[in-house]
Amino acid sequence: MPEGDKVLLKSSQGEIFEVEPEVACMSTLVRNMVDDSGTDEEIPLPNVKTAILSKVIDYCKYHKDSPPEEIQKPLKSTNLVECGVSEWDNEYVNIEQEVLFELILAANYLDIKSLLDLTCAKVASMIKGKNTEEIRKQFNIVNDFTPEEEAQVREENRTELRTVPKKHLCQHNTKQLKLQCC
Amino acid sequence: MPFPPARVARVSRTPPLFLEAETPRKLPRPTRRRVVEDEDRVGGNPQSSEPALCDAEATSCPGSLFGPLLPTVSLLESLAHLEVQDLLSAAAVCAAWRSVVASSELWSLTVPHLRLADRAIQKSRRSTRRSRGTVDRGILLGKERQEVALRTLDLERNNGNTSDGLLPSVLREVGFLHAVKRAQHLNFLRLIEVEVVPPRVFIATEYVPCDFSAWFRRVLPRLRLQAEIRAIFSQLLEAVAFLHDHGIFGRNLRPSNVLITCDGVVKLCDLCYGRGMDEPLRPYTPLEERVRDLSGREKCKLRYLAPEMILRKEVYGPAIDIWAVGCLLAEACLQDALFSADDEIGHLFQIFRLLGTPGPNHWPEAVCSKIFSVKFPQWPPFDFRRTVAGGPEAILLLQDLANRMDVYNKVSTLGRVLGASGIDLFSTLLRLDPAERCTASRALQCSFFQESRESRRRSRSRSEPQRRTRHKSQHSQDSQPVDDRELAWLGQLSQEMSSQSQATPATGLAQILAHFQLCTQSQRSFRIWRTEWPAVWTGLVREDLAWRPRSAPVSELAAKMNAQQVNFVVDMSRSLFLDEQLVNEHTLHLAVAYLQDFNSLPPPRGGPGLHGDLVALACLKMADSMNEVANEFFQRGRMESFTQIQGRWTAEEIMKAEVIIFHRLQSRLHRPTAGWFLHTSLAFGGFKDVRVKHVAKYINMLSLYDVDMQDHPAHLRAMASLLLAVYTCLASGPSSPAEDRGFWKQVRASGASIEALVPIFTRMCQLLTTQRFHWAAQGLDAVDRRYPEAPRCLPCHFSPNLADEFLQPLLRHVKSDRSLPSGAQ
Repeated sequence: MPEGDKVLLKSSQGEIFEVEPEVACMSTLVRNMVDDSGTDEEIPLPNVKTAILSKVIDYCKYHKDSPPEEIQKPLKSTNLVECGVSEWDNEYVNIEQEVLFELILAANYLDIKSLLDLTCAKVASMIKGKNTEEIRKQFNIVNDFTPEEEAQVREENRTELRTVPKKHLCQHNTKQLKLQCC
Repeated sequence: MPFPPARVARVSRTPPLFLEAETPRKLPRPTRRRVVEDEDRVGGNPQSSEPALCDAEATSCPGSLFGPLLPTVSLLESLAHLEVQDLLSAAAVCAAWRSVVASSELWSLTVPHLRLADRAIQKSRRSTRRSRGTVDRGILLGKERQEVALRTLDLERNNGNTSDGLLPSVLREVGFLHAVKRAQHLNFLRLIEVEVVPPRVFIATEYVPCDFSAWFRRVLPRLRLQAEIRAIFSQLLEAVAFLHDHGIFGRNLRPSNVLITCDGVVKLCDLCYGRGMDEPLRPYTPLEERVRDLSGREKCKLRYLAPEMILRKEVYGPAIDIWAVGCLLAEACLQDALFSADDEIGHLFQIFRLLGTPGPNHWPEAVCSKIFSVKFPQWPPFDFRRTVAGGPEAILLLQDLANRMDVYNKVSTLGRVLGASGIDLFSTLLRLDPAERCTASRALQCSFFQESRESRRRSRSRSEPQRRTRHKSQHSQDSQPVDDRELAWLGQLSQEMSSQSQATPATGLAQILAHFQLCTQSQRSFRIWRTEWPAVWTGLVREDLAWRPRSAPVSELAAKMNAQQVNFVVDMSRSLFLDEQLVNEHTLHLAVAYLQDFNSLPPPRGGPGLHGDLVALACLKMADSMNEVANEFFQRGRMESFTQIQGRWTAEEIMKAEVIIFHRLQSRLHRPTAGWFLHTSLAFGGFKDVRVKHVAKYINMLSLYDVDMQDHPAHLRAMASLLLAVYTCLASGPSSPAEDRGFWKQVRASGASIEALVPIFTRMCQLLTTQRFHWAAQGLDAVDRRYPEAPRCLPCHFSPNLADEFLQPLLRHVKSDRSLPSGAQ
């Protein structure tokens, strides 16, 4: 790859972004294309809208020299900062759900591992600690189980009997469930 | 119950084009099942017109309903960040989410960072015991949902409220269960996972609801009962034989530890009382008297306790398992425990009532026991076979047992259920003298089990009876004379040996051979059976060969580090255990094996590496727990004195290191070592020259310093050390032990060729002549201090072609003398 040549990225709406090669190549997709056919031609990204592409480029620019630390699994809290995410990243994904999902799609399409990780962790933090009904509400999902299916799911995952000794695992602040010995 | 099969796309390295490239930004209707849609798209199902419809909808009002918009891959990635509790809530959201949660892809992402305890959904509690922790029945979530029995142990509560790290019982049980798992033996409870989260230990095994007592309590018609007993006990004995062959004995066989699946497969469980076997046997921890009389559960355990345990014989061995099998066999027939006393003396008397009181002719060793008294009531033993004889014999027996009607009733019931061959089996299993009790593998050969095999075979091959008989006669013609020849040869050899009063190391080696020969011969004669080379040797050699050598070569730095760590272990053992007997060679070799295994693994991700000495210390502690000899030292708060002696690490640090090492090495805890093999060879070889013992042990342990040496099988290292020691002690060395023809046979039977010994032998000579002084110059001389006599016996230099000179005669033997032992006549 020639030094200093800018990479041209074209969004689905036809707008062209001129970015440094190191920034663009954080995306594995772009890197492969650049490796194959060089930087002369603009790279079409028909799946990424202009607004999202600019947001992705923001992320890549910020993390060009400082790759983010890996996010701890499982998440310890719903606050991502407590799980090893930097303040900037946290602010970055503090966005509307709609944009977040578009970002996930873009990160997935462009194959940017760290961004995908970050956005997915954000979604996970939105699920964490909620019960089923709250999750449905959060993501606006309609329950499509038949009553029998629902009963079955509940039976399979019944935790009223208590999930095995949580109280002794001090780091876990999971819900204390009712203890019922047989 | 089963989830619908997961149909989820996995995040791939190549751009996941199929999801978006084909249908960019399709926003499906929220209620639509996303996964199904994916499939439609991939399969290009023309009937699904909905995506297009969704597309139109979504573009018209973007940002309305975004739930299922999340592509499956992203949902997978997102859920991978969550804990089990959240995953379960997520599974109930909608069908698409549920199938994602049930997918194996998700679990392969999450399992590495989720704790075992969190992944188990507990369904019911099976038992709670203070000492053993709780056993729960539950579902373990993972790539597949499997029903498990989850045992939870509290390390502190199990150890008198002191925290001494991992308990010997846990280490041993896990080590043994892994050994069984490696061999994929069906008749043991399968271990699924073990996890230590101090102060708790979680052990997940497969779940089997029905145990032995539930099985025999079912009322069965008599004939079927006999068939079932045959099926169950052949499996049980096979499991016990497997344990004994792999150098383990169970010590805790009783109905609640013998599980039986719905298909009639026996699963032995609960090996936490098990221990590695030494050959010859050593004194093992006797049961505590006080504990035994405490609870009802202990009373139940008492019922299966062999008499030598009650008489406090410190040296006991696998025969106690055989006794317990005998008790279980009787219990299956009687539908009740054979012995049911509440205290020890009552138990002992019940045993004597059935089997006769020991006397000068009947288990004389027992009479010497402190607990035995001449005032004990005298019951003469009787032959169980008389119960099935019928006719006048039965009346005679009734007269003989006139004052023991309960015994008569029991034995006659046994005879009715088991038949003549069954009674034979019973009487060989339940012998007072542990030395006379038959071994598990021999019990499997008895006619009781053969009958069923025979009848099965007969029914199968009824169509071709002639062929079968011919084959049988041929077989008997072939085998009989060979056996006689072998026996004659053996008799000759043992005579020769006893006539040589002046025992030299060379004759000692010959003795090894003789013993080893015995092992490989037919085992019909009782005399031979008692003196054979331990059968467990062969099993452990096989296991030893299964350890794969390291693939990557070791750097110089790592080799130096290894020498330092080994030196530290040996040194530590000297300052910790003032009595050298307490920490024997096997313990040290085991510790070094753990150490080298741990070092050869790639360092754990993330966490800081452990200090070399700390690892060495933790390995020594674990090896000590596994091998029990000095476990008093580590039990009950002795950790404190342990830390005081070496003063550098706190107890917490040692325990932490121990848990890390345990997690990485749990499958390699039970293994044979060169120390074990050498100990056995020395004991069975009957070496009179004490120098041989010292020098062999010295060489064997010195070779631990050399990391490359560890790639060779342990039993060959032990053999080479012994050979070299013998050579060294025959200072002038006129008669090479290689002249003894049996030696080759031993090596060959131990699964290796002489050629394999040459590099080991050569390397050992190098170690002794040059490398040893390099190490000493670096201050690595703990082995020299452990065996101070040995270096004095060593010559200054060995002939450079020693290996060839020494082993060539052996090789010649191999070529000229393949027809052993018939050539010995």
